[in-house]
Amino acid sequence: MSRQHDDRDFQQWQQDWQAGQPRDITTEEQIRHYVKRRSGLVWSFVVADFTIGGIALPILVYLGVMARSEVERWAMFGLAYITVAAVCFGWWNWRGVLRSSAATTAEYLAVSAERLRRMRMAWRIGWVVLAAEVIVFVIWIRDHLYSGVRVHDAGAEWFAWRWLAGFTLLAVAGLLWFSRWLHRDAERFEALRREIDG
Amino acid sequence: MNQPARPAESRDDRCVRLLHEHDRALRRMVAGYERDPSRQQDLVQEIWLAVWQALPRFRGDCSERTFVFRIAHNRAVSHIDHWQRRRIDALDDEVPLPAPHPDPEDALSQQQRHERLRAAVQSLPIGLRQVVVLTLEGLSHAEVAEVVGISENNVAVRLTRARAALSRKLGAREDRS
Repeated sequence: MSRQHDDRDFQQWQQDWQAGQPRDITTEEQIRHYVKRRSGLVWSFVVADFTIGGIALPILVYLGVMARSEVERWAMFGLAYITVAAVCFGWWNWRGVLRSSAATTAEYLAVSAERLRRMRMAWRIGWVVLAAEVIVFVIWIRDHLYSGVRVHDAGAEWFAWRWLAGFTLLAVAGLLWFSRWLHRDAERFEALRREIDG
Repeated sequence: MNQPARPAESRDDRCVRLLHEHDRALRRMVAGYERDPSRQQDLVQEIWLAVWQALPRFRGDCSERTFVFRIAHNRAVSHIDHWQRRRIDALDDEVPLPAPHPDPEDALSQQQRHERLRAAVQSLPIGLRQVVVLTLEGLSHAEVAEVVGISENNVAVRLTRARAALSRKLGAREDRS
């Protein structure tokens, strides 16, 4: 192919490219995309719940069975119960809102509103789970360090409380970030709903 | 080449003027990078916000068009990087190109040719796509080099490869239909 021919082709492409009309997305398309994307997010929550639960549960049960004191046994089984309860709640909470499509715009709006409600519920339960875990950990650490059964050095005490503080702070930061994200997402959804209704 | 702010032009006024002048080109460019229409819209908004934020730092050391396209390019590259890391939208997948319109005289055919070209551009590797999108928008080799941050020679090399790839993709599609 000659150079001139190539240049003519490219000039034609330039004309075609610049003549293209950028297509504005309609609000109906936006809500469809929004529902599809959030569906992926909700599925990722479900998968994360089951993955974390699936890893943590056998470890906690093993530690519970092998515990060296009654308090430690109950602490480990307590954490295992909390894990099972959190996974079950997650599955129950996301029922009916995992789908990525709907038949009408009204259905898309309804499923989005319901998802936001369930996400708020998950956020509230997240605080409850965190509080329960912190209580169990405090009981366990206190028993481990101060029951007089075992001898421990200052390093173990330093590590245990700082580990708990770090874990708690990380979880609190995560929940606060999720709360902010949820707030922004609700605003985005309300703006979409107003556009569609208006 | 240099187009410093007009004397009484506020940052908002200037941004609105740039938006009037370049929004269409920017939307075409974004469509070359991102296939999902709702993410295209998010990206365009993100680019204009970035332009507005960067305007006070613009000293007229390049044309306003180059300035806007440089910001758009940087944002688009970050955007692609972000979504590819999440593996939600693999832009390098083979894109089925729309069939050419049976009647070349038809008013729809140019829009259709644009759609086919856009699909072909979207299927190019990112390095070639950057250069070809900007060149299709009418930027010179020097301007493309400035926007992308590579040498003019490199622009020429990438453009030659991009043109060959586009010829293959568009030519092959025409042969099949």
